[in-house]
Amino acid sequence: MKILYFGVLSEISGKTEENIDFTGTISQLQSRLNEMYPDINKQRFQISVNQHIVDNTHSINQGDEIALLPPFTGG
Amino acid sequence: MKTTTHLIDGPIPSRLISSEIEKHTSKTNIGAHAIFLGQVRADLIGENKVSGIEYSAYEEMIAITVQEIKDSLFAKYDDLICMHIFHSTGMVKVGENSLFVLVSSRHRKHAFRAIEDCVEQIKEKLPVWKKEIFQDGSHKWQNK
Repeated sequence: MKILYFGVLSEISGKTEENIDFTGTISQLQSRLNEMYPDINKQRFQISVNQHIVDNTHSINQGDEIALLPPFTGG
Repeated sequence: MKTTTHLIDGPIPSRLISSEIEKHTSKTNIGAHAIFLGQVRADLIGENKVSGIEYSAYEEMIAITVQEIKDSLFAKYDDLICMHIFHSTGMVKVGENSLFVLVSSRHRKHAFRAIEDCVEQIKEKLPVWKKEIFQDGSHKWQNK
């Protein structure tokens, strides 16, 4: 499963993307991310699966593209 | 109904604005264009002055988001003919433009309304992030 990090989250994780072995819900992924990068949960962000924003109960499949999206600040 | 979105590497060149307008001369059902340009402002944060903004974007998601914005605008404003969005990625210095939106309609009212609606939706939904670069070389991710 590929995870993309955007904005300040790329700075906290030190990377823009990585592959991890994971299956489960978004909520479980957040716990895993918190172990990997303790500072990440201090930030506000939404999570998308295959470019669509999902809620915490969404189940992730192998091969999905996950992205961590801080509040958008374009324009 | 036509929509294009382009990510531009660096600032929006002024020749792009004139060439886009030029492209519409053959569309004779258009009676009004509304244009929005976003410009990088030299904000002062504490004693640090912004020298530019570095933009990053989730390219694969942008097409999906623009389609959603387009669908909502065309549903609300039936006079609309077409809309085009150009957003910068990478470094844009103060005084340069980072966003160019062109909305065209049969009559002016829907062009005025749709351009504001479109820009507000871009600010709210488009997966783009700005990193303010200061004159002393430090930076700050802009937060809402």
